[in-house]
Amino acid sequence: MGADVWARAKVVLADALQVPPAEREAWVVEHCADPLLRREVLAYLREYDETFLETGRDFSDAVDQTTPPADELDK
Amino acid sequence: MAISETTTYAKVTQTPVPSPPREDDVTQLLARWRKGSREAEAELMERVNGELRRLAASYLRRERGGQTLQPTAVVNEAYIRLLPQRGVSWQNRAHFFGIAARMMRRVLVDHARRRNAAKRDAGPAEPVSISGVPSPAREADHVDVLALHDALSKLAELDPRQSEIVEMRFFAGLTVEEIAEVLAIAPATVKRDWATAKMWLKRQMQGL
Repeated sequence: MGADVWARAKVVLADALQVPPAEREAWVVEHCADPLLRREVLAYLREYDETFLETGRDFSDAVDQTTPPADELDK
Repeated sequence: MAISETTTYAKVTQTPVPSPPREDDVTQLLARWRKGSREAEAELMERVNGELRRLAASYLRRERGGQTLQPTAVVNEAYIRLLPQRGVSWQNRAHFFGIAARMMRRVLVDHARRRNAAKRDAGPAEPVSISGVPSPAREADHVDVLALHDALSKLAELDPRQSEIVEMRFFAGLTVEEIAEVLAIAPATVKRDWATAKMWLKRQMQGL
């Protein structure tokens, strides 16, 4: 993969990580029109391992995915 | 009473590591480097490099088998040895750790290569692994230094900033805010880059 493709892929990936895990694939399919880019992004997502190279606590909120939206906290 | 105090003192000073350079020198070097002094940069690199190599060698000698090392512990000790603990701004601390991260990576790669070369005749080389900052939630991962180094070098060709972020986080344990300070970017950008760099590295290291 070239630097230009990765530069686009990492933006989609970082955005996708903000979505709950179960909805990520659908989110990417919906938001990524370029079929080649979409295929790359989905391949990375399938391999995603939150704990890989994870070494400390302050990065555990790296993508804030564990924090439910405020309205859910009230329930 | 006086004798026992003297004895204790003598024991404490018997460390295998030579005494560090004068503390205030390093603080001044950091300040000059941050104002753009190339000369200060070179001097600082040399000091940090020397200290890290001495400490790493000393850690590895003490460790049975000499294979596993916690790089963040080494960097922290170098920091404590080189800088006075009062009056150092968190920004200066972050910049110090930013330099140390790059050095620490080299120290570990050199060590792993030497070790592999020495073992080549004796049989297949075992990977030299390092552990990250231990997390209270789970045991720290052990990562093959040379595999990570190679993958990071490839990532640097695609995205130099992501490679630097991983270097600072993994080899020196910098926080999001410290990395943001060193790179002069937003903490949110650091978080995004770190999360996606890990994805890239994982696939790369799996040979995918």
